[in-house]
Amino acid sequence: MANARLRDVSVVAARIGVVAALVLCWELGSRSGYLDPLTFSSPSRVAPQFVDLFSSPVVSVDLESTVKNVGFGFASGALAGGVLGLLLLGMGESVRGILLNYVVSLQAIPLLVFYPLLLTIFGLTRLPIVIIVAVVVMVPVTVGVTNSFAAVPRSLVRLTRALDLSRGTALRKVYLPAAVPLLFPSLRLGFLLAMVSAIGMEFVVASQGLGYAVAHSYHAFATDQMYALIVFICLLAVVVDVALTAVENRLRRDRVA
Amino acid sequence: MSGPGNAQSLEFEDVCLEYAGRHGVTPAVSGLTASVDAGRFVSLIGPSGCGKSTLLDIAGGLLPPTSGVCRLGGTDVTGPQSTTSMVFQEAALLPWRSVLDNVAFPLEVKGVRASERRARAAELLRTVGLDGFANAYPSELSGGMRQRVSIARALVTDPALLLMDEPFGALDQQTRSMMGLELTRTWERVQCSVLFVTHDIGEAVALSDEVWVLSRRPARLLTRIEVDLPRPRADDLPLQPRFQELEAEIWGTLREESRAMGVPERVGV
Ligand SMILES: Nc1ncnc2c1ncn2[C@@H]1O[C@H](COP(=O)(O)OP(=O)(O)OP(=O)(O)O)[C@@H](O)[C@H]1O
Ligand SMILES: [Mg+2]
Repeated sequence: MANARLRDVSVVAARIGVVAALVLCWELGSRSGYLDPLTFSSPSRVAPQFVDLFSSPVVSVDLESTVKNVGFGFASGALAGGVLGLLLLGMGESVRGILLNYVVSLQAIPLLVFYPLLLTIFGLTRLPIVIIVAVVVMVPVTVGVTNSFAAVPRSLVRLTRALDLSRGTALRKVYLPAAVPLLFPSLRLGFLLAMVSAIGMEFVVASQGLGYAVAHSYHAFATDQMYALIVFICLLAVVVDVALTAVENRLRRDRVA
Repeated sequence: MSGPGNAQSLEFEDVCLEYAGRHGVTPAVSGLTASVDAGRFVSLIGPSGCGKSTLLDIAGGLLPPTSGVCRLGGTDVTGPQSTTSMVFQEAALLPWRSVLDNVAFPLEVKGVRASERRARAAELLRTVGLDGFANAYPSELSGGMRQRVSIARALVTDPALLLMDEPFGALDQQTRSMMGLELTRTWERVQCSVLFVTHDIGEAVALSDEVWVLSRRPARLLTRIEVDLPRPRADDLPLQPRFQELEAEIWGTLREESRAMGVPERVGV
């Protein structure tokens, strides 16, 4: 127990150490002239910008916009994926395979190409971005739900029958937790895809959002501010990932090593 | 109808079962009439694939018979009964729950209060000799221990009937005989009716009051053998002449059955 704690602490320390070393290289590289300061900036110049970011109301608008794009997109995509996945589960194995193929092939389409069409339908609102994010999220979640539920051991299915559990109870107490190890990675993948596609689209088509803010500072030659935003986005991604891991471990306590 | 404790009798009356599959109809049980008297331990033995698990599913209300009836304590079985517990070959534990919460699971879904069901589960863990493992997770247990947890879970509802489908089938021989001995001890205390599927003749004789020998598919009752060995069963049971006689009798019946069908002498594995 104490050993495990010690190991956890040293893992965290090592991770922080790696980041610190990279930041140090960045600073030294830019001071010594190996890295062009105009293109790459430096931590000592980015840091004050970073502080400024939080005091400027503009960025909070961008942040809010991104959070909404990702949040709404992920929530509706995950919901649609969950429902679709459960519907597919109810079908025969061969039908399921065919339909699942269609869902997966959605992933190969660069959905951004539909943006103009969505724009003409929904106008200059958040909706086109949210819809595209939702479709991007839906794919891995549908596949995850279908596969993870299909993989629930037969013995557990028999148990729910022998105990005469209602559908709801069986889902809540047996199938869902049994599916978590396979289901959760697809939710996590969905969330990261949502962030990537939302910020990417903001970059190109939006007038708000963190992606837009990066593009804007790039075009305005505000390199330091751009890096501050990039660092902020990276931190955001890490925080979300850590939070998702914590949720996953809470759902399946037996899997916490 | 009720015996010691709240044990109930189980009756099969002219039970037939046919599976309707893609390749036509497969008869699995044909005209079986027999009963487990309340509080008795009955073993089912028969060639592989003859319909033993099917019969257990019928008794558990998971499968309605094509014709005939199955009665528990005098009432027709039409679906899963809360007074019946099942134990399968795989322990079928919920890996994300502690041992204690696994044992308490049937009570939890019945809405029994947390303090009450935990106390009851702890009691059952003591019964199966796992009191030190309440907070362990199934992945931390050996196969034999997991099966003991699953037996505790089956007994936690104080069942009138316990259905066991080769519960020790996945264990090594040594663990298996130890578990058999433990099961007898436990059962001698709880006294519910038991229908126990096995393909091990020695196990059937050692545990049971009565052994039903089934035919090849579709299952018919070939013979019922009364095991007149005194309880509590002795540790040196396999050395007793009467035990060996009974074993030989069952073996003989099974051998005749396989001869009659012109197949090599092998008992269901
Ligand atoms: N769902 C099903 N559909 C069609 N046939 C089935 C089904 N389940 C079982 N059978 C057939 O019914 C017969 C009896 O099966 P059952 O599982 O009851 O046998 P068993 O005696 O338990 O066998 P084993 O000793 O291998 O456990 C087998 O021949 C099997 O192929
Ligand atoms: Mg079987």
